[in-house]
Amino acid sequence: MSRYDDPDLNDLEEGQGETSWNALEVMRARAEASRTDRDEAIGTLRESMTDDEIRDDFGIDLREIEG
Amino acid sequence: MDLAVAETIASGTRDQAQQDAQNDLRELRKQAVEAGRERSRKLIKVTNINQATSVARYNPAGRLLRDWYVHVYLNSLRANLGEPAAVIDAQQLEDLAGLVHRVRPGSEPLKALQAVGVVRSLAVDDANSAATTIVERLQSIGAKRAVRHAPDERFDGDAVRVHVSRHWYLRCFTAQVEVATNPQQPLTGVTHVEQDLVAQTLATREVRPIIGRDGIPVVTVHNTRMNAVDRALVARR
Repeated sequence: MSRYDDPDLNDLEEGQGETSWNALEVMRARAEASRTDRDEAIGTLRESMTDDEIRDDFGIDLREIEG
Repeated sequence: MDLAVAETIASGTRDQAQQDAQNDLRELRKQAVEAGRERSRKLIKVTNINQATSVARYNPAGRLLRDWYVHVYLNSLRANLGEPAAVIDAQQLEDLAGLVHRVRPGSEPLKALQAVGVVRSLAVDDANSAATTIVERLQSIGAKRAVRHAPDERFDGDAVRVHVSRHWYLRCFTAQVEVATNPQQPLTGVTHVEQDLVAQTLATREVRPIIGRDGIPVVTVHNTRMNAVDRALVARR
């Protein structure tokens, strides 16, 4: 049984035919993409240097990332 | 309830929610900036200590990269939170790689470039995570503030008016956060027409849909029905 005479309003109530929008999900997706970029960048550097060399040469302590 | 009174309540609730959201966002942003500075100190060392001899040696590359982290982090955070921010481009990355190579002549230029890229990725990732955490916290805070704004005993305990007022507060609070944090969908902004509909609902106690499940108001700013074409245009964007 419809609550409203206008079918559009019933659709709204039931959420039919609409794509839900969640701003937080947009931000989470953005954060997830940047995490992937970060891991790829670290992986590339690790192909040519050990973690100790990275720390000694550039001061980057990768233990702080995984820890 | 008189309509004029209801309009004053709807308007006041909107102003209060927006002001609260701005204040909360400002406070959380301040905390995130401090957390970023602290993170830079943990991630990037400016002193190397020889474990065998206990001799400490200054690492200028670490100083450059720590400053770079803070620069990228702050600007990424600002961009995430809708503030003016410097764009981090490839030229800055290459310029800094040149400086790092100069203070670390023993390292290959490519490795210096990769190290600068790693720090940039770390800072961007941390800034995005911080912004997401801020929005998560604000959602929780907004719900609590809405209840505090319209406690059960308000409106002589009229449950309909209490709940409409809470929903309206949360709607305005959330919209303000989304304006600041960028992911706002077109057409989801709070309008005066919407405010009028809330006032009418408070006055008459006749509950009606005002916002669709997609977060888009049912009516346009011109008080006409938001139709399927309007929504389709948004979806394709």
